[in-house]
Amino acid sequence: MFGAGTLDERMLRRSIYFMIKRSKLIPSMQLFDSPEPLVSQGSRPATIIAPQALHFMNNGQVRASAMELARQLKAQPDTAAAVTLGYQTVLGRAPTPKEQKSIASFIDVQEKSYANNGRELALADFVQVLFGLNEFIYVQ
Amino acid sequence: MNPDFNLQVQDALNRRVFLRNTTSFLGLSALAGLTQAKTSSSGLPGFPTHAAKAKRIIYLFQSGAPSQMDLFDPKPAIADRRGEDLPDSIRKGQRLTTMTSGQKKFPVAPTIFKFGRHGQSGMEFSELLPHLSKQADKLAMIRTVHTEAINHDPAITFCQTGHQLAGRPSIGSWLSYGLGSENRDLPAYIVLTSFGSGRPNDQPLYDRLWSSGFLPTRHQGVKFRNTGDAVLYLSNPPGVDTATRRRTLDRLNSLNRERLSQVGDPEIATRIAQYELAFRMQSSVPELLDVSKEPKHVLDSYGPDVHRPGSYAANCLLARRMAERDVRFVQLFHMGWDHHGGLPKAVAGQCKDTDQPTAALLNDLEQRGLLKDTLVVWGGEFGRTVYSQGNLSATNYGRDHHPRCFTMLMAGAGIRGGVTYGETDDYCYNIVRDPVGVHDLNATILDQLGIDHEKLTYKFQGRDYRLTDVHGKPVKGVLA
Repeated sequence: MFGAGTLDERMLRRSIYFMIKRSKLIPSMQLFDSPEPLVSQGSRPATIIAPQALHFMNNGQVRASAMELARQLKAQPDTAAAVTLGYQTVLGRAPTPKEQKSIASFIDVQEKSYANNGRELALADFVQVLFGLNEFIYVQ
Repeated sequence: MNPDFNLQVQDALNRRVFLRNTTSFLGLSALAGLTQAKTSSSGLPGFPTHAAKAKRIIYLFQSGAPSQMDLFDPKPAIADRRGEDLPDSIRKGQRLTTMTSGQKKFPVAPTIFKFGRHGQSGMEFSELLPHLSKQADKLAMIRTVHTEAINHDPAITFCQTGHQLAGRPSIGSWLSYGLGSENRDLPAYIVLTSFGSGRPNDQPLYDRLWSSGFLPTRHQGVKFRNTGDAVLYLSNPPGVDTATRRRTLDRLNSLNRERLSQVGDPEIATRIAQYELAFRMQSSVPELLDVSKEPKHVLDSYGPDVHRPGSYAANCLLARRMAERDVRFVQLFHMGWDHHGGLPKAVAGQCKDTDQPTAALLNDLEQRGLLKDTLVVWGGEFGRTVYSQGNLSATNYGRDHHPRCFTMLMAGAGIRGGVTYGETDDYCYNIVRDPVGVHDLNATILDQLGIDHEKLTYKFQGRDYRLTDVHGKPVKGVLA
């Protein structure tokens, strides 16, 4: 709880359990309208800003999570099963046939663009696409 | 498409739109949220409220509080009163900080620096500012700014938000909220910080000083860090190149667009737009920061520090580049002006950091035709005391915090150059004529940007808030 504390990006706790130091606000929480900790707040605005997109695209923790899930997807027998498991894990639903097709071709192209470890990296890109969906940010 | 699914989605969507429209800030901002979906640059309807003289502002905040009587407000009448106790008739029992309230004596410390008159107006500057003094005819000097706060953090918070307690929106966030952004590739409010050489371990600056408070966070200041990556997460993860990234975004956008066509939530359109802005920032920010194509004579004009990223000089140059790209509000914070002891040496160091770059910035803006619609503000959070904190010697003294009067400078759009406004008493302790409160200063800034400061409000916790609270009057005396 002290020192790096909740500024440590490897923290896996839910943010409701974070201790917030007023002098060390958590950058990724601030990106997503975390309430000003010094005053009470009646409603929490939900804004959509470019730094959130940068966060989902390039933050180390986000990429690490995507890679972690990609390793699980890689163990699936084929691409269709990997896409289904990805949708189930991230969005809690199966992909539509159209999505299934679209993502399969995407994974194929991405895989060829990497020199090494293409399968895993392509699957990580797929997971990051899921993270960037409005549907992921707003749970049904 | 499955009609049940569609119904469900519509239901959820309606609920969310309904909640958004009723629980938060009714009407106006919900409308602003919808227009936001189309373009990231829109402000509030009806703004600006009158013709703006300034399109943008560069605010050069001198954090720690520069000494007004060593730089801008000479007091020849007390030159021969060195060491005499400050008369009670002047102090009038004013509260002091605990740093000097225990002192037995309050010895008057006249400045040891020489003053001269400059420009056609004969504006007075200390010898510590040889470059800035040459810009006298561009500057309005306000000698009678006063504040409520007596310590740094509440005082800076007061300048930034109009309130000493943290939590309200900062001035740049108010501007972004009211006027929107002019540049589709960069944020509307950018903050740059630098460490001073006068007192390297000065007070810290908290990110909440440029926070959007209770305004939506898209209006918060984006701080470019002074070391390492200027903007976080600007670089692709290791091993991912631009083409690979572009394909990922294209796929993401097509899926988000698919969803948009099904459910029609404008928020999805905004999200697509923000991913595109993020992608553009990956090239616009490095382009903004790349000064390698600046001509040598321009770099030289800002002084040798311009080559050190994160210095005040380098930040001044970046401020000009941001002004060229129509960033609405650029705010620099230069730390290190808090001189409780050893003031003569420390203030000289601070002036060396800032004097030449500030003057160069004014010239550079003028030469590019930008000064006529850019408002430049220079100043700190309060002033310093005429009496010495600690021992007074022939060559050394310190000064404590002094909220009752201090000097700020303005230049550029709508400002009458060469004006010295307001008058302080012989001890530079009290205001004799034309006081200017921090709310007046902020009202003046908003006025130049075409905003009636009484009309820019936001409903929060049952009250209409504004930057100037229930105060503030534009200072007509410094306006052209």
